[in-house]
Amino acid sequence: MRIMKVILTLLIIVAINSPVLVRPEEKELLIGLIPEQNIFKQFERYLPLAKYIEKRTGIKIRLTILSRYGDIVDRFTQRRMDGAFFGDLTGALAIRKLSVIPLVKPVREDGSTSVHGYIIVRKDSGIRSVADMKDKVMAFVDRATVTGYLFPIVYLREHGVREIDSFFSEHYFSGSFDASVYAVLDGRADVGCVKDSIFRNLVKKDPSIKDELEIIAVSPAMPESTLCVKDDLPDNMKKMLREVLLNMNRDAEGRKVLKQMGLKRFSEARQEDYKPVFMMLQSAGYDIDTYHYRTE
Amino acid sequence: MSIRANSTGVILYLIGIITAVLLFFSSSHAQMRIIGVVFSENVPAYSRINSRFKDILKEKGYSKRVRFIEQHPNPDPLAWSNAIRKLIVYDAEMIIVYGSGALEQAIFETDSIPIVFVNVYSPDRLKINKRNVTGVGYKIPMTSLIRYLKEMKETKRLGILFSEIEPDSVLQMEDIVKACEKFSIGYVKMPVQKSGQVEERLKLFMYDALFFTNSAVIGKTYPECSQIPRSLNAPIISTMDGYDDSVVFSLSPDSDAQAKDLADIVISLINGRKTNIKIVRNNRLIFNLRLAREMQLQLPIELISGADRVIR
Repeated sequence: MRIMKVILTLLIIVAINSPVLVRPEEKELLIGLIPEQNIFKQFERYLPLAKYIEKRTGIKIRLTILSRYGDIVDRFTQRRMDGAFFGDLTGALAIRKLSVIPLVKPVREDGSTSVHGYIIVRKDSGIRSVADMKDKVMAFVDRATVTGYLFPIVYLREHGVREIDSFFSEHYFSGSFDASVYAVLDGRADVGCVKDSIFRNLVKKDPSIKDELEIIAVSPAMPESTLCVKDDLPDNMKKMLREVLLNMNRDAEGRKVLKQMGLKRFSEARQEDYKPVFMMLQSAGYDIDTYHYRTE
Repeated sequence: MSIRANSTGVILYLIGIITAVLLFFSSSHAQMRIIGVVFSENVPAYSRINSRFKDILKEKGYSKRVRFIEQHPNPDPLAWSNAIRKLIVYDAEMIIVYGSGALEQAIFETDSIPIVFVNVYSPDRLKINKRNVTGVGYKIPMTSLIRYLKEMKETKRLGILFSEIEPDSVLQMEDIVKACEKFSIGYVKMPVQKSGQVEERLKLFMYDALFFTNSAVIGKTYPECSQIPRSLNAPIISTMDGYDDSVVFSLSPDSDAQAKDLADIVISLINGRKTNIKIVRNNRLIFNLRLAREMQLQLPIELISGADRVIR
């Protein structure tokens, strides 16, 4: 009888700690955000979504925002994050280095699920080609982005520029896409880069921006901010998160949150979505395992 | 016989030495260039550019080959003109002018001495069609100033303080007017011709925000009058560098970039090479967060995160 009690107790302990039987309401998830726009706006954008998930699943969602893109790869494990809305390059890096799986990706109001990077200049700058960019000031976004760094680098290489240090009089990392746009608008940088979704949001708020800026190059389609979660997260939790996010366009409250975020719905994300990123890395001559993604 | 021959040799040797010394000094004197410099006024940006420009000349080994004669006239056309004339009398081989006021007078006074202007807004629009004129100009997108202002305060009427006697100040006024119209902001033009009029204009007109152009005339007296718009709780914005204590934010051309371009032009001219007008597009955004807080203005995140310098 005593032995039976001990076995029963052990079975209960094992059952409680088993991922399959974790009750969602007892869990809290820490979700990381990248600073694709300034951190206050970014936090404001995702907070209603966090509240919505909490309400629908009973899982407490805490958001944490990183000051740099590359930090999300470095600090994912250190800060014990359960998932993150990764960008194009950080997503590819995370899949490779952090054992995360893509869960859902956003579908924008125009139905698109990918983003394009733009290289922008002021219309009155006289810059029309790569040759005109010589000895000018370039504002990249962050080394850990395709649209904000890798694409411009590949584009410049395709046009014969291999050493950006000697080609530009100065180049720097603005830290976010909107900061790169404002730097070009103000004449603090001659050339900048931005992803189309952020550019569109800025133009929506202030249409005069479109009158002043010229898009001189467009990147191939890249994956939009995708929610990836730790592979070892309990299956029922992954399933619940996926279901809630995929179906949130079916209820009024969910649609309201999506609208605030400028989205139509979420759709299922796959590892194959990151194929263009791996291809871009390859054409730039970088190996993802050794790519230096930290912006100092 | 041998003693006579020896003393003749010594004399010839000494003559040779003296001739060589004289030739050396005369040639080094011929290489020394006199460069006249006229400052439209002692505004901080001009001093900063000039100091950096001299450092660059020194770094490049030209400091011993030039002699500067500097003129600091009052900001009015007659004084600028007199300063230029003095430099012509001094046989200046090149005249550097800071600001469009002195530039206009220099163009009028000489068409043979090379004139190099510095810190002039949109020089391509000033219709300078003289072959002896080159220099370093800049461009500032005025829409950026209005865009940030709109984020800080709902502005009904922007006071635009500008100098009628400085052509590029007038251009800035015209461009900020266009920007106001684009963003549907009311404005009032506040022209001055003399420094003494700045205080009067600031008291006379009604405005809830103030923009002052880069101008020598305004730069001379503005700091003494900055309390007037402050008492109206009107935030001040500008394209003029160096007035950070009283200006909420400024967007101005980078001094170092202007100094570098100026040095390139001057060195080219010294070496007899032709140069083109250079436009500096490397602007600097300075945001006085402390002042914005004191005035209880909105604090646009784009300014806090994007500014090259934030005063806390």
